Amino acid sequence: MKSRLSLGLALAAFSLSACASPVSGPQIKVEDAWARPASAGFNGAVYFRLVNEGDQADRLLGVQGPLAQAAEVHETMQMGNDIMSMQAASAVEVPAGGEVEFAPGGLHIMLIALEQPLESGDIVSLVLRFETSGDVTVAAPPQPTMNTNENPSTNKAACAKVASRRSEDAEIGAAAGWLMGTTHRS
Amino acid sequence: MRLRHSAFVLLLLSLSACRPYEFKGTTYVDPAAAPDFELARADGGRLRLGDLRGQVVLMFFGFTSCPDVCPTTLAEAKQILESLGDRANQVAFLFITVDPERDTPEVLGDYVSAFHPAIVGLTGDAEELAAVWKAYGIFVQREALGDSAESYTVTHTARVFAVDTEGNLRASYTFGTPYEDILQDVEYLIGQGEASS
Repeated sequence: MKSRLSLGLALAAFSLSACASPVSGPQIKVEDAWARPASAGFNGAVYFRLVNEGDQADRLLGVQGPLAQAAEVHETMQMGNDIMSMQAASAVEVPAGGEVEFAPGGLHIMLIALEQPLESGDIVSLVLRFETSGDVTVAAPPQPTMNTNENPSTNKAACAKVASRRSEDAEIGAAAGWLMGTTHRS
Repeated sequence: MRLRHSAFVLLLLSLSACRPYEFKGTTYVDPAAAPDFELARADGGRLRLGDLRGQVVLMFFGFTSCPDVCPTTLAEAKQILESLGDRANQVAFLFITVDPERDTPEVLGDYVSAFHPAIVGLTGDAEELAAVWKAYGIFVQREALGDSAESYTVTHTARVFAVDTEGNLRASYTFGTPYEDILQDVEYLIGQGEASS
């Protein structure tokens, strides 16, 4: 990430020095998308990582998907002492050169009242609507857990990440509100 | 030389035999009997916790409209039960609703069996359920979701409880505990039950 960032800086510097109008802005990529298998009529969840390789932040404003009555950005929050709560997130900022993880126990796309089951072998297609980047498509295969082929301990890592973000959020403070769940890892 | 080697092995063996098992979960200082209860099974009939003596019982409180925390935990339940293979029948996994209004027995049964056929969904009337939540220290609060197509969510304690084959509450696990950790404790409790019977 660091080298990517310095490359980004170098490129930005180069384009500035060449006196061309700089090509700038957010560049959103969606990585490692997956959906939890679920039966029709129930609620589903889709997870992924948003990576912004651009030099400007962007904000996820909403999501659309054809498979359910509604698709919404939600965030599970730990209220302390193992009490879990959930709220709708109205805008999620992806910082320039940063990432935001949507993972169990944290941010997720909630599919409300599935009109068809999510089963392995299918692909869940969603459109993420960003403030600057516009529509970004996600293709999420339903699978039982986040990392069927990876080190199982990653699951814990994801939760730890969520936890650390949580404390960051607390510092950022009540002023910004709870909905800016962002992770800076550059 | 050889003698010394076997003495060393013996020493190691005796040390490992003496060391008490260290649970992966949060343990109870003086394991006491798990509060007993009787609730309605989603698949019909009643279930009394006390009737499950001889089995290791894992318990989780949740609701079927929950898209994130509850399915994550039930996916772990599936992994635990599948990893146990033919010993899975020595373990009961109970999913007790915190949302009886939406979780009718039919809905609850469809939901839990989609994860694993052995998972038992439990519900009851408001009074029965409130007593069980209280006995296990489960916080339950219905909350509006704001700008959402979903009418409400239920904020609740997300902890898995482990009861041994004698009916004692032995350990509990926070959300996000790797399933391998719970599995290891369950295997220990199964072994302990077999040794004492």
